[in-house]
Amino acid sequence: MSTSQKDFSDQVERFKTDAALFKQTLGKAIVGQPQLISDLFTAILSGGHVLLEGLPGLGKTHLSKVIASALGITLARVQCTPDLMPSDITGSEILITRPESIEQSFEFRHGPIFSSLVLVDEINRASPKTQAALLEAMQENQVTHAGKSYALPKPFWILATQNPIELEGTYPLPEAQLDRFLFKLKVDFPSAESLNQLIDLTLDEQPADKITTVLSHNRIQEMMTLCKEVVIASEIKHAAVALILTTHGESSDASISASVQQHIRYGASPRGLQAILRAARVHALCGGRAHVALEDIEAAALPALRHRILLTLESEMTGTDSEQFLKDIISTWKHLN
Amino acid sequence: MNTDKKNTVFIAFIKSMRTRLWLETTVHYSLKSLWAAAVLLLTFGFIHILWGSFSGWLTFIITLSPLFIALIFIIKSHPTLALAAKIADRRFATRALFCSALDIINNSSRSTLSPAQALVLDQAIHTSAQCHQRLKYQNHAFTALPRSSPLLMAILIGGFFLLLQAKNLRQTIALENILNSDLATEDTTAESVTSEKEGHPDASRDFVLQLRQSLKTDADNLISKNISTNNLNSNSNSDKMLSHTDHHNTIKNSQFKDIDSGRKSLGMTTGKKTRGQLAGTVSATNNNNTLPKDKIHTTNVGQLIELKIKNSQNSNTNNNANSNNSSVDLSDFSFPGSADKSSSRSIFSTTINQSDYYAHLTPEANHYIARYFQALNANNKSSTGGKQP
Repeated sequence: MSTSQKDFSDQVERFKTDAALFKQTLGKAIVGQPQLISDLFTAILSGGHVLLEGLPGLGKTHLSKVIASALGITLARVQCTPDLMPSDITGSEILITRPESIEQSFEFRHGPIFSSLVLVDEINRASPKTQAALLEAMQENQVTHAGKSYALPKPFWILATQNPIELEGTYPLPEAQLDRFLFKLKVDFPSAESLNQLIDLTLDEQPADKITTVLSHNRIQEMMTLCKEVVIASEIKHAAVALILTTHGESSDASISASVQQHIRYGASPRGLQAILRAARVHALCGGRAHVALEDIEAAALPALRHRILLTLESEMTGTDSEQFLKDIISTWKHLN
Repeated sequence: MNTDKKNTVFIAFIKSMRTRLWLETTVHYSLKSLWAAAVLLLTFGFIHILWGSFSGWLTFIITLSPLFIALIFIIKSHPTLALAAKIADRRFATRALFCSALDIINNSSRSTLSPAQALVLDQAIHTSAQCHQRLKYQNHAFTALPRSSPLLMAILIGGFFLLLQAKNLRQTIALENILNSDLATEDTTAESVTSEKEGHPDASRDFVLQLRQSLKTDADNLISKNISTNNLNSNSNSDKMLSHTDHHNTIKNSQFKDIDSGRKSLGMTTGKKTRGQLAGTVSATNNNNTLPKDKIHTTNVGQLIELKIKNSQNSNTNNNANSNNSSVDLSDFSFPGSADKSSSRSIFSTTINQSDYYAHLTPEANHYIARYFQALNANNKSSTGGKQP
């Protein structure tokens, strides 16, 4: 084994250790949500944005604070309301008078989006105009104001939350914006055992305050770079493409194809394919491997495709469970591969 | 070990895996085709033996057809290295390690490998060396055979023996049909000749026809031969009998029935010409008393048939005694197992030299006649409660 090979092997082992440490640290503050924590870590190291969906009081905002503490990065919070303006997020130009000069000038004042981690709380309460202000930031990692572009810090993540039941006075996110989220994660209601632990941990104090930084900014950058080195074989790429095509009703399994054509109006986008493979690389490294396996694709598929398929009107009216339907698709795909 | 040799180890493993897959595919298709062939063999074999609807060659070709189809599938399904690597990953739970390594070897040169690719390749080589040992054990042919193989072999061997038994069964069925037909004719001697055919089911038709044809040929030849040697007009009694036309016709008709019955008992077909010949022969029979005693017992037919040729005097006496009944005793040949005189069957005229007749029969006909009378004897034993006459 050559030196570079040995180094890479050590890096993989270190990645695995750090990942376990990060998940363990978050697990101390977020009780009973190991899958959510694992998926969040995957999304963070993939450099993707996450849409958290869950009922109020399940700790979505708290989770964001814990992540910021564990990563040692600043957290900016935007509470969305219908009257929230885009400039409230991106920033605006203000007139500045300098004491040493009598001249006045406009200067761009950065908004909360110029943070490494931005918590956009209840994003579906913001107006479409404000929601659209996030598009460029999420995709291009920059903000354009008055004809001038401002780069966002690297790495840059948006954690958006939304409430699935309070739909009055909300503006559902358009598909274009949904597609820009790497993962859509569901925050499930914790079990009784987890609730008991939650009482002990959070009744009198905030666990997030006790979280120390386990991964530095530089270490995060190194880990993200390492992810790009992971080998993806042609067979695995073909399998991922087959999964995306399955959501469009193009599968070698005739029954699932017919079912997809009946229930899905539009399948996953190519951005969904990228999301799956990027997340799969992180998942592989977390398993101590330098190559992606089908299991990694499978693990990344559900959170990456959950918000990328559109059910037909008939299926929505008949109450078809899109999540269960997607699980069936993934199961069939795995069986075929 | 240099890099190329390391790669060779890995490639050798993948090739070995491919061989294993091909072996499994071969066994899979072969077994399926053998199952199909076994079913076809049993089905068409039974049809061939029992009914004879298909020729032996056609049955043979139909039986072999699944094997040819399987051969085509086997040739076409030779796995690629990529498929072998994929299945090796699945079987050895290596999580796409072999797939990735093969992909790296195919798409990258060793000098341009990234650290990650080199690491994956090394891991694959190391793992393949371990897996190869396991695969070598698995590559024995018997391990590729599923557990159903012994059952298949048992069915094939059993089916073969069943087919052999079926051949004997066919002969038995045919003999029983002859017997049934004969007994039925005995009860209904007035039935037409066409009803004779109805006594044989389709299952043994071919065999019966074959047997009849064989016997008919022998009998006709012999009868023709003997007719020429008989002097039908030498007996004055015959003139007397012929002068009583009505009486003679009655006798003749009765003779025909008995002759038909006798011929039928041997599976012979009846025809006008033969009937005429036999009529002439039988007319002469009643007055023929010239057969020597040494021809009473004939053992030409497997020592199973004991011929009792009655004395012509006795025959004449019987004829005179039974003349009022308009019947002529045609039981010149009565066979062992005949419960009584009335059940004895006349086959041919006593003017026929029996030794000559049986000498003219083919061995196969002799065999069938022996089997027939064996069955007849058994039937008579059962009908008379085992009492011998």
